[in-house]
Amino acid sequence: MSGEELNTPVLVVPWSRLDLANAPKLRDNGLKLINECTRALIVDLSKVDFIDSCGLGVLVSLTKRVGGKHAVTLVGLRDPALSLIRLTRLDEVFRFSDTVLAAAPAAARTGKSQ
Amino acid sequence: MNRTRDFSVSAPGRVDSIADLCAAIRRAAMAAVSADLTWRLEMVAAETLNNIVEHAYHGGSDELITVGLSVLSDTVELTVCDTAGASFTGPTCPEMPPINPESLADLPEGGFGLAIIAELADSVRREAGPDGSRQTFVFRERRE
Repeated sequence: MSGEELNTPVLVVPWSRLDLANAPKLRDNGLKLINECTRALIVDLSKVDFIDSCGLGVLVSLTKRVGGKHAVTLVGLRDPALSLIRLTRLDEVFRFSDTVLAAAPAAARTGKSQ
Repeated sequence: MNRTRDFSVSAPGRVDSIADLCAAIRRAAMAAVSADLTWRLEMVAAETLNNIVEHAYHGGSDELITVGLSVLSDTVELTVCDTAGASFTGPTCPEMPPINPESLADLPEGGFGLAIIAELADSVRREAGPDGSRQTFVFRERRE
């Protein structure tokens, strides 16, 4: 993996719930991490076991800020949170990966192609 | 139909109460129903509580919210009651916001909550009065 591939920002969600209480904090952290040159973002959700509509809204918001379809890779997402993403059809918007290391090369390619 | 288990819990209508109320529902449900139905109950409870705290209680209140769960022989009933005079109700059958991944500006950042409730509950009833609202959701197990 090249240094460039490792430069894709990684935003770790440290809570078990991504919900109304925590979503604003994630938005703030995400906006601090990205800038006008950021074209890909990895969000590590491996500690999260519950997402509500407010959490979804922040993930969409960051996707729009970074650059659109597949610009955000969600790492470690598992059921039932994954079921919610499918229910809302947002699975067409995000990229998915099991680990941050596995996500980095594809995220870097996304960044280059935009 | 015989009620087999009844459970209710109350907490102030604040953002930081929502996770505790949801956890109480999850613990009560998981002893009696499938993991899938447990998640649907928690999801609907969370979205309903979000709406009450944000809209009926305008961001938070010390007024109580009471969440109840009744497990019957082939259905589960979730009730959420608040005491806000002008409660949030909303439509019972909203559609999921349309997703077009190719149109960045049009990707919805909100509007999912009521549609999620409509998808996950098998029936929704909302009764609002001057003393608050009572929202009742009925669920059945769904086979894959």
